Amino acid sequence: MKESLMDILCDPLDKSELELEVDERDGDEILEGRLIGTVTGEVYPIEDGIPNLLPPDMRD
Amino acid sequence: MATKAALEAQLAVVAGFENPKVSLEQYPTPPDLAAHLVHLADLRGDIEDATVLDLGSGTGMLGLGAALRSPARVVGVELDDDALETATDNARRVGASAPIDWIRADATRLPLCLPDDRQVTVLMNPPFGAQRGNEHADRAFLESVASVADVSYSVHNEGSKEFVESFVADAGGDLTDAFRATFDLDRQFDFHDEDRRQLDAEVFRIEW
Repeated sequence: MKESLMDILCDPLDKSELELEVDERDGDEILEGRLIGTVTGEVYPIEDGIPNLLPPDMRD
Repeated sequence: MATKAALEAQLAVVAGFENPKVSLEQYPTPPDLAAHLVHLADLRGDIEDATVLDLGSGTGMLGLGAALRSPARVVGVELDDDALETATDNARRVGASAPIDWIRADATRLPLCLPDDRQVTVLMNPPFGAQRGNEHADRAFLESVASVADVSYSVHNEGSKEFVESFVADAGGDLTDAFRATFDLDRQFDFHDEDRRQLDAEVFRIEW
């Protein structure tokens, strides 16, 4: 995902803000990392450049 | 603006579902339908400089079509990670210049908060709700669209017009265009008897 995607992403649980933590990037593409709900504390992984923003009850 | 035929040709490289899942009603959107829908949306001024969302994006056909025009950005939202993997490969193949992102999410519980300063256009070919346990799936998608979109283009199964019209009226929207489309589907599920069959669909443009 592009870092600029942060402008429009929010927590699927309550639409609150997300914080980005980056483990690996390629220019402005975030490849690995996580998004953390600033209110819910929920952790949403970013794997292979795709953020997984499924609510916790819908994950595999 | 390039022609519809040129768009359709560029979309011919978009791969469908490797292992289509019945429960998610994973029918591929044919390139001619995608080109038709995107070209119409572009002519109506709904693509250029807009944030384009493809909800239930599957392997990316509609979003990639939009990305071949001049949107501000395209975001594909899809539940299924196998489909998303194919979508990222398809994006590489299509080679569109507009920024594209893929999000794994439930289109009916969107992790998106879109600022008001830019038009949001939704393109979608949602599950029709034809499978047991999945009834009214298109209603849930429409509810989601009503909450984020300025304009939407959506594909529904034949005979949906009355339901869509009444939904849109209740939500205070305006159904401005309706047209019919025919899908040629290759046999992909065991319950399909013929190798190929035609599926009649309806496409609606809605201002929200």
